[in-house]
This record gives sequence, C-alpha cells and structure tokens, in this order.
Amino acid sequence: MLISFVMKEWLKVKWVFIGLAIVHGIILLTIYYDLANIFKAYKATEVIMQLLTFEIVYYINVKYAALLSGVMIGIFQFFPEVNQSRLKLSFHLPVKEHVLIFQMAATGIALLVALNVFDTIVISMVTLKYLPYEFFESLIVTVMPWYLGGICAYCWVVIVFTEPNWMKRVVLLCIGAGIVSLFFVGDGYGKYALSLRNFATLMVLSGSIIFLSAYNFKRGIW
Amino acid sequence: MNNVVEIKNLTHYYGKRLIFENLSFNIREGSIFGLLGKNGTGKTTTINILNGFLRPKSGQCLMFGEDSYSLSPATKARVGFLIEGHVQYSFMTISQIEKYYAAFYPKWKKEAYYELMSKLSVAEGQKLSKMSCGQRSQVALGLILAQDPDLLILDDYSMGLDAGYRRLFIDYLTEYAKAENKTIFITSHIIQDLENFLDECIVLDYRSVLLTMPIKEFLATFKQFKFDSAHPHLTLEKDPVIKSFEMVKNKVSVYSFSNEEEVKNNLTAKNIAFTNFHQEPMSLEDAFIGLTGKY
Repeated sequence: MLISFVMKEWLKVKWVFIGLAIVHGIILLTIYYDLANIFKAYKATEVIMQLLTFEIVYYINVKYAALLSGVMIGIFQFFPEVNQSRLKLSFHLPVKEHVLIFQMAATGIALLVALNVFDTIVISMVTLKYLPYEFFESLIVTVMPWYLGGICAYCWVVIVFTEPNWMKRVVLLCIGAGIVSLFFVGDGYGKYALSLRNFATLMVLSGSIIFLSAYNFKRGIW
Repeated sequence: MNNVVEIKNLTHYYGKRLIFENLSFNIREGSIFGLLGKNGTGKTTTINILNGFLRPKSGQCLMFGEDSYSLSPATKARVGFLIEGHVQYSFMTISQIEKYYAAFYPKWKKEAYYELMSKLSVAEGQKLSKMSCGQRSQVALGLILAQDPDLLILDDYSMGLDAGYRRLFIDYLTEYAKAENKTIFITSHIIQDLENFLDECIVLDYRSVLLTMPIKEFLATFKQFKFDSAHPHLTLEKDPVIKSFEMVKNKVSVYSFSNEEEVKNNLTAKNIAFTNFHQEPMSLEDAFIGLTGKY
C-alpha cells in the first residue's frame, strides 16, 4: 500500500524532480568551475584568506536551489490535487486521512532530502579537492539551515494549498513567507550552528500545521 | 431490507446561504437510488457530506451504520466513488492506475477492469491524459467495478459524455448492479438516461425536497394535463392538486398527482374555463421538468 502510494506521488512529480535535479547539477557544476578557475588564477592562500575574511560562501547558490526545490515540489505535488479535486480520491481510499497526508508530505520531503544529499556530496568533494579540511567540517552546519528552510518552504506551500478559505490562504502565505525567510537570512561559514535546533523545531512545527490544514480541507469550509 | 445509507434531518449552509434543510432519506440495500435536481439544489453537496468531505451544519448521515464524516477504512473500502467529471490521476497509464488502486482493496478484481478496457481499444501504456472524456469515464468505471464495492456513489456520471458512452455506462452498471445485488446512488443532469435504470428517486428543489418515491410510482401517479384557455394571461397558484403550471400562448399544461376529475374540479372551483382537456403521457424527464419547472 505504501509503495503504491509513494509510486503514485513519484509519477506525479518525477518531471519536476528531474528538472530540479538538472538545475542543482548546473549550480554544482558552476560552483566547481568557479572554484577551479579561481584556484588557477590566484594562489591558494590568497583565495582562502579572501573566503574567510569576507565570509564568502562559495556554494551560496545551493541556498536558492534548496528554496526553489521546496516550493516547486510543493506546488507540483499539491496544486493539482486541490485544483482538480483529486485530494478527494486520496481521502476516499480505505486509509486514515492523517496517514495519507503524512505519506504525501513524507514523499515530498524525501525527494527534497535526496536533492540535499546530492548537493552535499558534490560540494564535499569539491571542497576536499581545493580547500582545507576545516571548510569541509563547517559545510553541514552552513547548509543545514537552507535545507531545513527548503523543507519548511515545502510545508508552507502544502499548508497554503490545502487551506480551502482564500482569505486564510493569503494570511498563511504571508506567515509562511516570514517564517521561511528566517532560514535564509545572513551568510557565513557555520554562522547558525547554535540555531540549528531552533530551525529544526520551526520546521517540525510547520510540518505539523499541514495536518491542521488538511483537516480544514476535509471539513470543507467553503 | 437493510438501509445502506440513512440521512436524517440534514441541513447545510454555505456561509449564510441555505442549501437544504431537514433533508431525510434512506437508500435500501440492492436498490438504485437517483438524486435528481436542478443545478445548485445541493446534489454534489449531499454527495460530499455522504463521502465525509464536508461536515453538515446539522443532522446525521450514516453509511453502513457509521457516521459518514468519520468512516473507518473498512467501510470506505465498501464504497466506490465516481467524482463529477470522472476525475482520476491523468498522469498515470491504464496499467499504472490499476496497480495503484489494487494495493488498497482486498477484493480487487483486476479482470473486471481489463474487460472494460479491452472494449476501448487502448494500449495498457496509454496515459489517461491522452484519452477522450468518454474513455476516461470508462477507466473510472472500470476501477470502481474492480474495487467491487457494495455501494457505488456516482456523481454526475454523464458529464461530458456523448450518447454512446452514456448508454455504455448505464448498460454496464445495470448488468453489474442486478447481477451482484449492488446498491447505487447516482446523480445526473441527463434525466432521460435514468428512466429505466432507477428504482427510487429523490427530487431536490432549492432548499427543500419535492419528492421521494419509487420511480415506477412517480411515473404512474404524476400526470400532465393539457387544455386550451381563452384567458391570455392565465396564472395558477400551486396547491395540493396543482403541482406545477406552464402556458405557451393559449395552451396550458398542469402537473398533478391527482386524477383528471380532481384537476378539472380544481380548475372549475377557480373559475378557469378550459376546452380540449386531456392527459399527455410523460417520460421521466417530462415528469422531472413538470415537477421542478423549466426555470
């Protein structure tokens, strides 16, 4: 049953996922070539000094890719469900509604995590090739707020689409935009290491609101 | 005989707009029940409440004895549902969608689905989005038949279908329902298709119920009488005898559950002169229009 459900969700978003994977690939290639060219043009010590002094995060574009992916997968997974009344098909299945919503959201988040893992592996390889080990060490804590922000953006897209009342949708969109923006303010290596727990809590809270919105959708407040 | 569906005093509003008040009816096991009414009378709302997609303002809606808003998965598995417009996962192919639903239903009958698909001359790998509306309706029907539910809820099955596909749909359903003793709850805008299909019907008007009756009894007791009137602007109020009235030039039609004599007496009591008074035979569609009016 679970495999069948995940397969359906995959079929629905596979093209947008492939498209996003290509975008991520292009961004990662750009990061690699930019870094390779800089190291060809300048001395390694100069480059490292510049990166540290001005806190230039050479993989900053991954931040935007994470946000874009969260929004796009959320839209392509849930907009047709709501717009074409297909959520009724899911709710009619002999499965509890909260389990269905959890499975749908879990599939979307799993796809985002897959993209995040892909990004992390490639950036790690590039980092270990050109930069000292310390850059690699700070990688996870630097990118983690963005990844959590991408997932949070996904959750808020789902919340907005499953909310049946248009006025409430606009309010939720504003709240969601405000919360998601917190994950993406400021750059720097490992700058938000101490806030990771707060970011994770915010993401989990956003995820739980999905269930409330889906409950409202089922109640049919329109 | 048991009731599969029991609706008691159902009232629903959208905002301040009353959709219906104290709607009550039962659907007996093994019967084919039609929910008829003009646009906006609450047919789809009733179906949404019945399926648990909408919480009514008041009243009770039971399906197999369970509150329809919190149906157990086991009860949901006993209900087949066709959404208005034959909505399905159009990004899937014929075989993908069959495999998808098969995982959820223990009594799944793959052969019932593929038997219907074989009539469509489409490849298993064809996507639903590339099929015609008629073909998609057959896919939706095939999936319901494969599910082998005890109750089929079909919301406006005829939407977008030409005469051939409508006939195919009804023929298949008739054969299936009678052979397997299934209960069907159906709505449609094409009333004429349902004449030989329904056992019983409820006719909704705006905010109220006009009639709940076996279809044979409705057709046998509801009559159309025509007469000529010399009065060019004749108006007739509805009363216990005259259920509906219409006039084109000097030709008057009145609809009634009363017999010819009672209608004539009613007109005479109102000082309405008439000539050429006679009864006209009616189809279900004529009777529906007679009861609900053209406007």
